[in-house]
Amino acid sequence: MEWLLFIAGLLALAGIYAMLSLTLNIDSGFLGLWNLGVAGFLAVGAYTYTLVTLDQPGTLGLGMPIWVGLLAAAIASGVAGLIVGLPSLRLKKEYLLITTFAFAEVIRQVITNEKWLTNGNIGFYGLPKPFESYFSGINYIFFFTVLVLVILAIYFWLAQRLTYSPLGRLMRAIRENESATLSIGKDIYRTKLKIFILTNMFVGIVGAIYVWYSSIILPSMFTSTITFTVWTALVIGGIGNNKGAVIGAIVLIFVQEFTRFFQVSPDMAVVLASLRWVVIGFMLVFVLRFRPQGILSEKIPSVETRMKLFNGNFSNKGVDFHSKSQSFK
Amino acid sequence: MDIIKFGIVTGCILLLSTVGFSMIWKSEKFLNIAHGQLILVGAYIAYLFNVTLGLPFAVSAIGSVVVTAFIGLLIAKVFYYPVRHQGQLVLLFTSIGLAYVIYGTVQALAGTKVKAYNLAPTQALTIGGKSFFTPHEIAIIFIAITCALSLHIFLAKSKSGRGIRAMAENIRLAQIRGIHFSRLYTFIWLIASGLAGLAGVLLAMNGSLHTDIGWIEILVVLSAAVLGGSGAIYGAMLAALIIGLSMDFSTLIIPASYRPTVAFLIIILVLFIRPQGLSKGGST
Repeated sequence: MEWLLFIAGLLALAGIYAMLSLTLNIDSGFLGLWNLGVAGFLAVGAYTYTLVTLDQPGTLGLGMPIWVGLLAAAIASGVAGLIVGLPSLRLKKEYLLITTFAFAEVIRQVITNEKWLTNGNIGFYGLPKPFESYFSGINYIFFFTVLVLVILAIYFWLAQRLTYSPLGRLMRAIRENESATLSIGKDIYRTKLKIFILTNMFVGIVGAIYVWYSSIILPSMFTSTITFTVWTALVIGGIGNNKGAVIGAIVLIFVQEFTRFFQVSPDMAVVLASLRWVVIGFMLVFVLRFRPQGILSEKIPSVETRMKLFNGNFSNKGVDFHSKSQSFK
Repeated sequence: MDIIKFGIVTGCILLLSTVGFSMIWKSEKFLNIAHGQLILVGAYIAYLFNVTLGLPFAVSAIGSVVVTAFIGLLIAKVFYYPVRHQGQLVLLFTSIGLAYVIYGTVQALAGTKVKAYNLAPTQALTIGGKSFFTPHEIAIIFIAITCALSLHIFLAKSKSGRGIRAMAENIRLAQIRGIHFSRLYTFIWLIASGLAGLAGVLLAMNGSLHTDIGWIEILVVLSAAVLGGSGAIYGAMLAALIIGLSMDFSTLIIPASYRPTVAFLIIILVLFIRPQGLSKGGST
């Protein structure tokens, strides 16, 4: 029973990372925006949600219902996306990367230092989870895992719809060749800004789910480690492939959390925790070196498959012929 | 007065860490996030020599710079060179992966406790009754200026230095003109990594030595590199001093814990007003 609980908890965490990885895939995989600020936008969403819904005396919590909190989280993260995106999306890709990276660190400093608002390093404890009263103890954990997986499924469906819509095609066009896309009269900057704000709104909502999962909120939950873990998941799974994003996150979280099985002394625990970084780092390095397209490579549906000219037998081989070279431009 | 003093010291250390980062950005065309972790490596190797092995500090510092330079070159040869043809993003994420590998390794070996070098405590010199720099701070400033000058002389006068600049501008043309570029890349990685190691030693000497200094420093380095203009070496030097000073000046207005926030605000401002950075057209 205990290991079943462990697996359930792990699945819930993997589900949350899969959502982040899916969002990042829209940003970076399809549109080519290199976002290193996932942790920052997640923190903005999580703290907004907590402060809006929190109902504890002595805090600034507003005690509003959950859906208001979710809405506020999405809006706050979206606004943060606007602020970061406005100056940096016009410029070369590297600048967005630097700005988002710095943004995430600044947000972490703000939530650590503004104690009157966020309670600093102590954070908030015992935060309520949705529908908690309907389930007893252990059962709730299973329910929560199912809830996360259902949200993930909806999310995946939305991501698929978006990336294979005309807008998704426009995104890939921008990624591949900005000048050519500009020449057919598309507004690149507006599209980028729109998608960047939209994906960060999603990240804000995931922030709320992350708070449900941990039932506490602390600045140390939002280090750039999250960003890099999500990127690693995406790279392992396959940039530009939504299924890959989900699979990569699940694989990575299971590998990462597996070390928790070992019972060791506190001294060894530090070493083990450090070695986890080494393992993740090497996973990233070796996947990039030997299989840069990830577990699943990007599949661009050709006109033939769309029109169903070939019944059934049209293998993937013919479809992803240029994916390897495209993923990393 | 104290603020100007701290600002100059911060700026000098930042100069050393940024110059190497900018050289790599300019010549290899990617943001080497692992550069921050080389700073960490430099700081801890000096600790290893100085405290664990009991060598004098100056010897440990020099030893650390040399060892870090070769570690940097080794990492480049083993991990970066083979994925160069795959483009910027692969190089960038390889460097992030390596940053984690280095960070984890150092932490596993050294633990997470804050450490300090075996340095004789010093008194600030007084001139006319006012406290002036401590000998350590003077040493940091002196080392930074010497390094900046010798790097300038190397780049401006020596054949290899001119080759490096030519390569950064246009690698094809440089190759046609007979520049031995694989040897120059070796130089670049050695210099950049050695400077990172030196910056790490000085950083830990000036503040405290813990395993997160690499991550903290790389953010400030990124903003200095952006302000300097993408990969411009002289621009980066000037930018490092400006950012060091403004970070310490900001403590007059806002809490000290927000120092790195200032660097971020500078990035945003630069991107709005002058995205090409300080130097003209971003060239070296």
